Amino acid sequence: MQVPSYYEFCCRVKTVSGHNALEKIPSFLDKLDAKAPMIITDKGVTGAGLITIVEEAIKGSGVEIKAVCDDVPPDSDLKVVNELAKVYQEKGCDSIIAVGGGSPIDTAKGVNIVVSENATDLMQFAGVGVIKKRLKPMIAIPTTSGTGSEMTLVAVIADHEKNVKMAFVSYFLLPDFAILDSRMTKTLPPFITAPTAMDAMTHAIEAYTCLGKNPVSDATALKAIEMISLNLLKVVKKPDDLDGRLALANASALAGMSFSNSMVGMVHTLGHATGGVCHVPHGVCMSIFLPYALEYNMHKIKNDLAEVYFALAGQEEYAKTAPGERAEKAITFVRQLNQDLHDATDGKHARCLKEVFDREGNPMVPKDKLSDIVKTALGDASQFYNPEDFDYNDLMFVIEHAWEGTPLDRSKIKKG
Amino acid sequence: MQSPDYYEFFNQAKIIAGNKGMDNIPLELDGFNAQKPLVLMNKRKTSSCLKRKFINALGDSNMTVGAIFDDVADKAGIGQINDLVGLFRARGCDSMVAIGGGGVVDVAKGVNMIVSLGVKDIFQFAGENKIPDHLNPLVIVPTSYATGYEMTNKALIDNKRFISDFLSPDVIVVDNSMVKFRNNQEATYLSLISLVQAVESYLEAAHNPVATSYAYVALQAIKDNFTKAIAKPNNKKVSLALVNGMVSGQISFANSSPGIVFALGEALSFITGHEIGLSLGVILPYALDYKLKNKSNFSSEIWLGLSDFDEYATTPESEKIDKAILFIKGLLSGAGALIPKSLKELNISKNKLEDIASLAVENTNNKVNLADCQKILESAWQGEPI
Amino acid sequence: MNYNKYPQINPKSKFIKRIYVSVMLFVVGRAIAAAAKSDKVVKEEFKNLRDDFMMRLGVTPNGPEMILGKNEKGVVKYMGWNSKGKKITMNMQIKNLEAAMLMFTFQESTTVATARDRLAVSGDLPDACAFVRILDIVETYLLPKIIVKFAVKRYPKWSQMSPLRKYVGRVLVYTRTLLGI
Repeated sequence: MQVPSYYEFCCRVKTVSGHNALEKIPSFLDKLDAKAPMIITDKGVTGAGLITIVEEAIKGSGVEIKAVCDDVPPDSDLKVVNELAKVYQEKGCDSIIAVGGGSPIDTAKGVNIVVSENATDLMQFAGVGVIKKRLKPMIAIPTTSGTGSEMTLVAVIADHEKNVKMAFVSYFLLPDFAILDSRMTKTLPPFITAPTAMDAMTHAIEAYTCLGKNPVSDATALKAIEMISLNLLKVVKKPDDLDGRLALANASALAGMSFSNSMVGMVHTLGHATGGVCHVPHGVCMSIFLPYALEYNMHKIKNDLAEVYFALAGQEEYAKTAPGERAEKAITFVRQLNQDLHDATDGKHARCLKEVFDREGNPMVPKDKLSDIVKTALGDASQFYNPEDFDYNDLMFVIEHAWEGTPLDRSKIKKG
Repeated sequence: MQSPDYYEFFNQAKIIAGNKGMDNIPLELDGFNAQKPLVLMNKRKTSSCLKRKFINALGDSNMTVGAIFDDVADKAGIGQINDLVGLFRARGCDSMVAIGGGGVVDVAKGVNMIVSLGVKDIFQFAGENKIPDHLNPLVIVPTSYATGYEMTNKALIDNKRFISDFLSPDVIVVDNSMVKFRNNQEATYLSLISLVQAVESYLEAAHNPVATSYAYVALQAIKDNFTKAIAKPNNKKVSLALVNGMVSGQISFANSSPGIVFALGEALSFITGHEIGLSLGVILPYALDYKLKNKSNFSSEIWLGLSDFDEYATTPESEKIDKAILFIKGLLSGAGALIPKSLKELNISKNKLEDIASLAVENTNNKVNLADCQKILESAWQGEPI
Repeated sequence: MNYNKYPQINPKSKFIKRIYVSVMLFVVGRAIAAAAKSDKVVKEEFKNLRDDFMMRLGVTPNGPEMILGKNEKGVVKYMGWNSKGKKITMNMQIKNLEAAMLMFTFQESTTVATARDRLAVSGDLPDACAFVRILDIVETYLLPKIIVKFAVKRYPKWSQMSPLRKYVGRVLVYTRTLLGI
């Protein structure tokens, strides 16, 4: 096991997992001296009936849900944060339950800052380490497997009026509890299950292969990779497999613990930018860019990637494969997984950028936008953690191949 | 692995490990809005040069040390805790730093309970989940001495147990310069605590994937460094890896059901006065044999923690647990005279075994089985597997 | 208990290390301003940054620090060692003096230091990325290859930085750094 000469690891979220974990919420709120929560979620979650399940689980316990707010947009927005904070005060809430993916959880973190600090201007709390005291109790219930936002100490809130994105970084933003309950992802359709699980897979693989890796994040990442690999296709083909859903939820949380401590690299550098410029869902970007980033970084991560192959393909395949070939096979495995998911979702799971379509069937990533994406990517902080350096030309090289769906010609990579 | 039907996992601590780790303490405490800790040490268990290293690490920061009290008793008692509460308040402190392990950390947790909650009677919080609120920040700087509960949510004060998530430390700093083993006995005992705590995460009925991840870190550290530490205890890199592993092992232990081996080791240590690491080292092989004979729910992943991917992948499934046990026994016998082969050799009289078994059951709130305890102790006393 | 036996301890200043880091920050600040005038790529990077760009690179909590920014004319200048009264748009905090020493004695490169959480960045993150790219180029000018190889992730190849550009740039950057022009 590699022990770097220095590392930091922190994940203070109490993780609770089970097929009926939601029923424990009243006891958790009681521990935090709370009984009047506000639920923050989005329309997709309420539409799927998931809030009803949460409400049923809490019924009769003495906990009174004071408000359910589902007007949260896909991108966390300052105006919404301030509005929800007002609702929190008006209804006399004393805690927050965030149900959903990245956006409701981020929004909930923003609301928590406002209500705990009595903030009139959220901007003054932006930055690293500005928040120095405990916030109101917060429980996160992820409904995808997933973004891992229930494990991160960052919230990004966009002020669309001033066209500015504010990042808040503090351990106090971590939820007190993350509840992983299989009922919350049971009805997630296959074409969303696939990319969200690949998001978690990317988190875990990047955590294992990028510069911030450390022993604890390595252990949780390896476990996450194994669990996704064993369960993803099964669950895509049989969505009501509750054991499989719980396993994926666990894997996503484990991956969240990993990447929030060892950061991510090129997959996210390009992925964030593609999401920002062309509004492609995050998980879709992750699935597409993952094999390319691994190819690009191969000369620096060969040993780590060979170990990832152990978790991806299982011990038998690993034992059968010659040591020198394992890293390559890891990339082949990821490509094959994308292909299998593509087949299992009737072509909805995209394997390359030119295959990404919106609900009306329009392509989302025109080739002439690639340069804009790369220019945006050069401003993404995840590049610090990528094992190999890259500039505009390197990223264009990678993204052009990712658009076409052709593997990289690795002789063209400038090696540091 | 699949996830169990239900589990909870919690680790309050931020782990900082490595070169210049302690230099982060001022900023970490500042993150909790704390700038003036009371620092505790036990000069009998921790070299005094470590005090100097700690003070140097605070240079050029905004942190003032309220006081460094280096005479903490080996076992935590309310008398000393009350004295230290007085010192804490006199200096206007706002946080605690504990350097070392065992009683130091228990005392720190005790002082923290009183000063944070403004109470006089600490024993109202004895038992499970009786502490009503968060405490002041607590930083632990482990050294080469530990007894197994430091990084957990537990404290032992005047032989009363306190269990609460609010007792978990907020920051654990494993600094290169603070962890060098003074001799191979220290190295062995600390590693044994770590080994048992990690192994027991794989032994229990519901292996949760988070706890076993942390246990994996501990086992890998032991696999790579246990033998080296016995040969060269003052190798900094080896010490760092093992103490780092111990931290991880304790966290996995805190999140698993009480294990029989640790319970027995702790009970034996309490009743006979032997170091807990030593007690664990003697009992472990017999407990492993017993568990195997009774086909307890043992995860074969334990072999992954003690080997590498290649070895694990080429071991047939049916042999993994055997190989793991064999490996552990190999480690233990490699320690030679440092770990006696039986409780008889420790001059423990046979009539004490009953008390030890009962105490183990009592300490774990009846979560371990009395008959199992008795059989394991009997076997360990004779020096013969069951 | 005799409290006097356990006195309060105030942190000492690490005087020599402070001086060393101060000098290094001064040199880095002036060198970057110099490179902004002498190197095409650095010039282009700065052109893409906001007009009121003002960054602080410093040690928490009490400095030393370095301020670098664009003046009213858009020229990149080393703005001194005190951030008081200046509107900082990007703040790179080195968490303690020892971490700064590790960086400025090249035991840990900027990227390794970031990966190890020795640095905290707030404000305009894309500017931070540009700054690190600029710093890599400046280090290539200031230092011999054997040291730079530890300080940067990928030492520029001939195609990215020809020997002519490197040596001419080196002379210009050194001259401008020392003379402050």
